[in-house]
This record gives sequence, C-alpha cells and structure tokens, in this order.
Amino acid sequence: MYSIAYHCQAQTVQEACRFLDENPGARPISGGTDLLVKLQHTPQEGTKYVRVNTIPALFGIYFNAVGDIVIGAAETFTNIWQNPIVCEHVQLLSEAAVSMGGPQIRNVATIGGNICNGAVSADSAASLFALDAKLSLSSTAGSRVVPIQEFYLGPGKVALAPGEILTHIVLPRFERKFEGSSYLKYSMREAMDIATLGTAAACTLNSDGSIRALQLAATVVAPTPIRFPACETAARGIFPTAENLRNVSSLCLENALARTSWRASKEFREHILAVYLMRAAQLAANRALNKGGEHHE
Amino acid sequence: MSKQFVSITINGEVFEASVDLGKSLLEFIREDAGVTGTKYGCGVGECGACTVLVNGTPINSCIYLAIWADGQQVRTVEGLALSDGTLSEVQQAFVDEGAVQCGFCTPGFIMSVTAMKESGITYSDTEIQTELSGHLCRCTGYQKIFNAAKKCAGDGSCEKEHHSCDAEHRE
Repeated sequence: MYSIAYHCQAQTVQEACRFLDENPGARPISGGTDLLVKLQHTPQEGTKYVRVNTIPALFGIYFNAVGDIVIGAAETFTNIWQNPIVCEHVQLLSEAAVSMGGPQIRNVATIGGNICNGAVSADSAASLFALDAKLSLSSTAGSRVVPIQEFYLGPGKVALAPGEILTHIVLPRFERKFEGSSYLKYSMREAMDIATLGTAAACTLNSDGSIRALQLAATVVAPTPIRFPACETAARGIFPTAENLRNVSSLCLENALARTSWRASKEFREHILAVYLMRAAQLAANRALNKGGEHHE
Repeated sequence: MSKQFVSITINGEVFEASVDLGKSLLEFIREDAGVTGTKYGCGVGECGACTVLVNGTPINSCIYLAIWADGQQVRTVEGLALSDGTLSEVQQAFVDEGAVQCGFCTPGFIMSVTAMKESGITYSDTEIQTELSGHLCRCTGYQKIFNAAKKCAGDGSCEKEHHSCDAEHRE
C-alpha cells in the first residue's frame, strides 16, 4: 500500500499543469517504477499526484518539420528500445533503453520519469547528453526548452519548476548527422542493476574516415551526467584507431568527479571510465564507418 | 478523496471494489479478488514474482497501482489452464522440463513466457534471457526454466545435456 492522498489522471498538458498550480506540493507521476519504490522507503504522507502518462500528447516518436527526432516523455523504455527511428538514427538510445531494469519495468517506465527523477546513474542520461538533447517543458504560463545539460542540477535534482511537466525530448538534427553511436553500461549484473558507469558516444566521420565530431558523455562519474570537452576537442580530425582513441579517452579525468561508494571505488571508476569511453568511441566510429557511404552530404 | 471505485477484469472475470488510491494491483489481485497465484516476492519490482499481464503486457504488479488497472484486462497464472484442467502449453512445458521446484517464482515466469509465446516471435537464446531477466529464482539455477521457455518461444529445441556431473563435459 502506498501513501497517496489524491490521484487524478490528466488528459491534456494544461490539465496536468493546472492541477500542479492549484495543489502546491503535488507531483506528476508517470510509469511510477521509481516513484512508487521511493514511496516505500519514505512515504510522502498527504502528497497528491497527477498521472501524466495518460496524456496522448506525451506519446509518439517522430521527426519534426526540421528533422529533429522528437520523443514523447511518456514513451516507455520498451517502445524506445524497439522503435525503428531510434534504432536507425540514435542507436545508443535504444541500447541505453534496453539496459535499464528488466522487461516488466521497461514496459511501464517512461523516459520522462527517468529524466525527471534526476538520478546520477539514469540510463537514458548519458545518451541524451551525448546527443545534446533538448527538453520541452510546459506549464500554465507556456512552454520552454532547456538543454539537457542545464537540466541536471545534482543528484536527484533537476530544473523542473513547480507547475511544470516534461512533455518531449528533442534530439536535434545536427548540421552534422551522427552516423554511429553506442551506449556501454558497466554494472555488476547484466540486467536489473544500477549503472556503476554509463558511457555514451556519438560519432560522425569525414569522407576520408577521420573524425568530424565525437561527442562523449558519462553518468556516475560526477554529481550530474557530464560531457568530455577535452576528449572531444582532441578527437576532431584524427583517425579513430585504437591508439588514437585510447589517447583521446585518457583525457577524460579532466572533469570527472568520481567518488567511492559501496559499488566501486573512485580509482576503479576512473579506470573504467577511460576504458569504456574508448570502447564506446570505437564502437561508434566503427558503426559510422559501416554506414559510411549512405550519409555523407 | 482517498478511495476510488475500480472495475478490473482478471482472467475474464470482472472484480469491482472501492480501493485505497495507494493499493497496488498485486494487493487487489490477491486480497480483493482472492486470486492468489500471483506472489509477493520483493515488493519493489526486482524479483518478478508478481508479474501479471495487463492488456497482454508483462508488468510488476507490486509497483503498479490498482487504480491504473481500472477498466483493463489482467491475466494471471490462474487464467491459463482450460476449464477442464488442461494446462496451457507454457504450463505443461514447465512441468515437462522440470522447471518448478518450490514454485514461488513460477507464476511470474509463466506469465512472461506466455507473453513471449503469444507474441508469435521466435526468440534467440540471448533474447530469451533478456525477456526473462526480470525474474529471480532461488531454487532451480534457471536452466530448466530456460529450456521450458525455449521450447515454447524459442527455436523449439531443448538442451537436456547440461549435467554438471556428466563426465563427458568435465574439462
């Protein structure tokens, strides 16, 4: 039994936002796979909830008019994993989705909930950081778009204002189009486990096979998910050989702030961070190479 | 308002009750409907013992509110056998493969394998493992459960030769 003082199901974004405005302290609930578990440990007596994964507008995975990929916040991890657009164009997000939890959880958990939960280890986060995702937030006052890098504030804390709900995740169509990507998760078990480390890489190659752009992100090595500007700058223009990528990824500790916890020591995390970034980059580059002929403009 | 009237169809039978908002679907199934094949294992969505199908989709009923199942179709292990007691193909496979020991994890596993079978997809070994990765079993060591699943939703073959005491397989 969960302590739920009030629960209603929204049909529209405005309905949900109005409810939040009129009930300070009320919370949106989506799949509930994180929230309900949290309620068991710390019952929030008297909290009211508005269910948002009943809002049709929060569903859908599609290209918008300018070619960005739009993902509704209420899309489940199972849907994202198997979606043809995701698999074809942002493969790392499909890999991230299937790495989270297990099938029963994935069938219910939503990407919006995963993002707004703000967990340092969120399985969707590294990929979204690597893709420069933008978050579409709505309130009764209107909408705003926040780059995901500005949304994570700290462990469990996100820049979701009172009265706001996350409606969509937008993966920008880049001037450069990412051709290869990967998500590698280090965890003790192969399923149903929190990431000890999550690494994401998105890579575009020039026609000569050198790197045009490499975007790298990781979770659990800092209070928020992070990118690696030093590595990314060093990667530009070089060929994605094992040697080069090892050198590039060795620069990763410049902004990593790993800590020791029961899962792993700081030293171990720093060690596997460099290894996993290198492997993720290699995999992304190889995939880009395989797609080579099709996408160069 | 702390209660809500719900009408939930379980194995084709409608159960109606006024329930606490915070009641889980698992509690509703076991307590309000009295259908107790579905088990409470961990209560936090990690063991899969509470797995039921909601509109054909496997979910952990311990972390799913009963009010969310209002108007929906729920299937539990009790809904699989025919009225004359004939076990479903999945259930029979579990029996035939020796995939049941204490039986506590079994209803959950069977619901997931049932969903796999009904999908019509032929699952590779790796895909079977992925589809069942939300279930824990403390007794069997999983191999026979895997064999039963493979029989029902994999390529149909069943490897029975993995005996640790078999001298031929010692290295």
